[in-house]
Amino acid sequence: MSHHTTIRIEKVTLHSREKSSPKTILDDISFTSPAGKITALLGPSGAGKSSLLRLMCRLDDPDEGRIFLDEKDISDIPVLELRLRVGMVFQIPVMFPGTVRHNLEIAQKLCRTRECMSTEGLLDLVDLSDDYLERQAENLSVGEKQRVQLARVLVSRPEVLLLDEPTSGLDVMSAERIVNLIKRINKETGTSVVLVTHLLEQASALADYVALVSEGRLVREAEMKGFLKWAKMGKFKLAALMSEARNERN
Amino acid sequence: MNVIEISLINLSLSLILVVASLVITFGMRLGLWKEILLGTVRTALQLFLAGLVLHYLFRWNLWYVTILLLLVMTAVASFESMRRQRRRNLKVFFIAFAAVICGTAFSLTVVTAIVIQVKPWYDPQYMIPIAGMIIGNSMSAASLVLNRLWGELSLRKGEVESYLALGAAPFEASRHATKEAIKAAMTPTINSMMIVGIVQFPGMMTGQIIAGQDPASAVRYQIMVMYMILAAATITATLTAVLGYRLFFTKAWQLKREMFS
Ligand SMILES: Nc1ncnc2c1ncn2[C@@H]1O[C@H](COP(=O)(O)OP(=O)(O)OP(=O)(O)O)[C@@H](O)[C@H]1O
Ligand SMILES: [Mg+2]
Repeated sequence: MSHHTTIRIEKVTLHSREKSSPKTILDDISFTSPAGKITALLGPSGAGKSSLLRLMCRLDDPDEGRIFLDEKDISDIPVLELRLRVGMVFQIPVMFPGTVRHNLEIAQKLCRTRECMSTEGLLDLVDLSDDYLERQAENLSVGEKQRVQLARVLVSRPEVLLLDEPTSGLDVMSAERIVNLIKRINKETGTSVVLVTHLLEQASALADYVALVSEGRLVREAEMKGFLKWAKMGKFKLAALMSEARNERN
Repeated sequence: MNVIEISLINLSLSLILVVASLVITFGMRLGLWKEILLGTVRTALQLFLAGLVLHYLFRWNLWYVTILLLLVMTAVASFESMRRQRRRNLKVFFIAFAAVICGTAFSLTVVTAIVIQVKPWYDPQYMIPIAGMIIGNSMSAASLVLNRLWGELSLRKGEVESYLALGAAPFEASRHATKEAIKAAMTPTINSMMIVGIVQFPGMMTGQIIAGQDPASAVRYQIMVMYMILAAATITATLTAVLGYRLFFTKAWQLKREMFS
């Protein structure tokens, strides 16, 4: 694929629908994820990262603001086209009942008439052997599910990948392989990636671009190099922010 | 026929049964006494009224009055299905109404026109009580489906949204939920088919037998009734599910957030 896609978030606000405690989940957020690049979405737990990803594939609509895919408002793109162009890897992987092969076949079927990846070699891509094809997907470990989920999303050859902490269930080695895979997909196909992560190290190893959010607001958006410099200057605050994020997870 | 008439005085003695129930619920502090009292009064009022209506209906014996009453019964049943939901709106009412009407029309036509061959076709003496049984069961089926649909979709929110994110349309993403909902709505009917005549003697058969009819003939009616309820429940449940899953999704193939928080 030669086509590179830019995602632009413009003044997006999202409120929770809970009547008992109305809450602003995202507050006037704007940033751009450049075409063909990997953008890290950093921020502590509860910052609104997952909520933002959901908006990008239109699983929710923002209360205010707009989101653009290549200068086109995503609410003007037919939903099916959008969902196939934008692949979403959820923070908590959910398998469909049945085998891993069945899971991949569902994704193929949902591509309808579009060209999609065949199951051959797909698992290899996410560092799983082909023996996994006949395993019951719901019995896999979280880390294995995460990789099957990624494979399932890759089936439609999305031009944008939204990854919500794709390595959180993995050991260091497997995480590294996934990181390399993401890098490779990005380099080889020019797929734009938005990667949610708590790990500054992972972000700096992988991402070209960073958006830091906290409490639903954008704190900073920058090139990785500039961001690291800035982070060093205000090191104390950022470290506190990120370790707070990590503590809450543990 | 030699049915023993219940005089009004004797009928009032049946309140002993209500008092027994009240005493127990008071003792257990279940806080149900208001509902029991209301239910007792409503039962008496509604049934006396129904008796009165049927009395005139049979006397007039007019096809349009019969049809009108059937429509009113269906509307009330649909309203009741809607009332039993967490989210109530007019759409729920119309879905239930359409589903109950279809299930009822089919079963009622087969039973009265083909099996019993009622003459004239609208004879209220047959139409009304038989339709009453069908509509009552269809109503339960419709509310069970809507409840279960919501339950399945919120329980399997992750699965449903994984489907949607991969490009599935709502009907594909909710296929599992609609199937489960239809099954859940049909289960009571199927279960009752398994035990009828062994543990359970349905009201209609009991009534006919007390009224002095030959049990062998009453049984034939009951067999037909069971099959007719099965068909009505199946049709109503399926239609409710097929029309109802849309309630939980937006036009943009999203789960409606306000339904699930
Ligand atoms: N459906 C919802 N209803 C109500 N509040 C919600 C809903 N979804 C998210 N929130 C709230 O919005 C805030 C942001 O949630 P979100 O899941 O986007 O955070 P996050 O940055 O992904 O956190 P984490 O790193 O822990 O995954 C949280 O306070 C959360 O409680
Ligand atoms: Mg999250």
